[in-house]
Amino acid sequence: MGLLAYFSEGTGLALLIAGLFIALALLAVVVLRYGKREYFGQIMAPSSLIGLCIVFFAITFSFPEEEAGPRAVPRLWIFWLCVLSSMVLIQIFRRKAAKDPAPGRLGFVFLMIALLTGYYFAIQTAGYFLSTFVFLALLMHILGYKNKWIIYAVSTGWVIFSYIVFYRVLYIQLPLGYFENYF
Amino acid sequence: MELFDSILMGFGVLAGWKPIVVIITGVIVGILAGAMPGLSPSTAVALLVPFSYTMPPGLALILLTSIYIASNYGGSITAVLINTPGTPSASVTALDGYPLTQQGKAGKGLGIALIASTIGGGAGVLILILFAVPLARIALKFSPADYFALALFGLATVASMGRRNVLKAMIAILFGLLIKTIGIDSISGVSRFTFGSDALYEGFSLIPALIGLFAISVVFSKIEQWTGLNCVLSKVDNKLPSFKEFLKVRMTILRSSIIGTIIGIFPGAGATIAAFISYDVTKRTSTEPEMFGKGSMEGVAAAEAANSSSVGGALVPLLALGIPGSATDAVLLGAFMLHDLVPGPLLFRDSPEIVYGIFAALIVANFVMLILGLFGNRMFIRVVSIPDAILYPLILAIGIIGSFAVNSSMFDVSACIGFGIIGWIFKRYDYPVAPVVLGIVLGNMVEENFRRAVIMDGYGIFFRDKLAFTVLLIALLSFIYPFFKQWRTRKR
Repeated sequence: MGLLAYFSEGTGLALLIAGLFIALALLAVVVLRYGKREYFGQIMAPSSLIGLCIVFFAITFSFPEEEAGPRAVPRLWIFWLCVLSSMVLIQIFRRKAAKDPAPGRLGFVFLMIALLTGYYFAIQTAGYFLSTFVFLALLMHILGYKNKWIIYAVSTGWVIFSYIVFYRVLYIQLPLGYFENYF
Repeated sequence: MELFDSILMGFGVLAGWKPIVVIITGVIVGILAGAMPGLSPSTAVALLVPFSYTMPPGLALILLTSIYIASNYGGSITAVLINTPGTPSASVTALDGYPLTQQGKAGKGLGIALIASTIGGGAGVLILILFAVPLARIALKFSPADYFALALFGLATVASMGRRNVLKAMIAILFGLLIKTIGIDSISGVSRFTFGSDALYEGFSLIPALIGLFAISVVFSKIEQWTGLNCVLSKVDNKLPSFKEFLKVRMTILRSSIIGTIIGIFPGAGATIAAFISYDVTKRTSTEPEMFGKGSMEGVAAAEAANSSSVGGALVPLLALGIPGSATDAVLLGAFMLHDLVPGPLLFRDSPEIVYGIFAALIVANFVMLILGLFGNRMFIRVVSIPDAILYPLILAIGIIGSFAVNSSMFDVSACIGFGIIGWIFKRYDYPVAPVVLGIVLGNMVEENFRRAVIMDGYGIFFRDKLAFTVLLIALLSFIYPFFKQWRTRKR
């Protein structure tokens, strides 16, 4: 128990998380290289959940120990999550599970996630209105919409709509970034 | 008599132009959202919650429940016209609705879907009122152990309804429950799993998580499968079903409405199962079973009456016990919380105007839906033909601003994007997303009541309290049953 308590916070916890990341990366390599490629996602999803459970379980050692205390319920969920995730893995290795779905336009999805991330940072620097206009126009263009006027009209329309409804009517202080002094 | 007076009070809440405008807006938005393939009722309600922030709680909930009830009908529009169900439950409508369109009878298909939805929706609301009010009265006497057992029963039922993969549905629920333990523990005050981040002290906000899981993840999934082509809508004739044709399906509508409402009451069952079961029962009892799948009006009526009536049924556990029975109910629960309201028996006692206002609004929303459906279908069809290349960016933009608006926090925006990615991965590998949400929504209720019960009376309370024991036993059985069923099927 003392060892587990070491991993519950500080350096121990950081080491545990790093170790689990390495373990998951190694697992990914093994799965891809040694025959279970078609189950890659199906294996990695429950394995990642088990990894999450290990981290959370270690952290529970930093909570006070008492009857029906703060560690009781999280441990209950962790226990069952581990058991059921292991059952999914067993199903896969007994070939009773479905294979990964055929990859669609994964590149597009990753591009969209990257754009959303960029948009998230842009909101804080360039402000909500400008970054939203650029984000919408860019995304519509990437998704293959041809009519530029419609693209600009929709982007501008949304920006005006969000300014009136959220900023003026609902009084939501949208981030203005560099343009703070102009509003 | 008391109930009648309360309903009248509910209609009193609707007096004035504001509630009527809100209902009409909700119905229009609901029909449009339901009609757009990819936007489920839960997604539509989640995306619209941010617009209701500054509204009075009663009006906000009237708006959201109007969207909820109308989106179930909206799903049938594209199901009938282009064989692309706008909502999962409308896939049953498409079985006979689309063949009607192919035969040049789109107007009849849409008309019968509309009438069945209206009657079904009305019947669902009626049963909701009759069930929820007495249930809420009984629930006032429930102990923490009873609430823990009921919430666990709700989760177990949702998992057992995980049709294709019960195991993954259970994992999804547990993931949601675990996520909900992040933040300050409300009983001991201990900070849990926050990794030292102040932003996590309150845990993840519900609305950004819901928007991420329901809206953002849908966009990712759709983009992955996207072909870049939009369906072309055919011209719609205006010929509605005749009175004779309506009379022919009246019993089907009535029967399906009852089936739909009862199925809707069970957590996790929802509109899709209601529509399938009702369709199956109607086919078995029909004098023309050979017509099913080839453009049977009975088939369309059965599916639509059942899926619309299930809304009233699903609201019974939400309003009377505070336990959401479906994904959309979970979003509604989030909306209640956003307005500092807690659904359950106390809501009936402390804020009856909210509860009965919702009941009255649901009845009015059904009539509004009928009128708008009769005259506005052509317009709705035009609007839902908005290209995906415009729709998806707009969903993302609404999701981002909506998640920011909850607490004016960029952390919530990042959480929304994070949950969107998690939701996409879950869907990709066949883990249902709705149970995650139910886990998040019910997490506090399960944990707090469990610990309160144990602190007050020890673990033995779950055996001594008859109601809690019985409900836990049923929950255990519904947990084990799917595994037993799988084992028996394999053995055969």
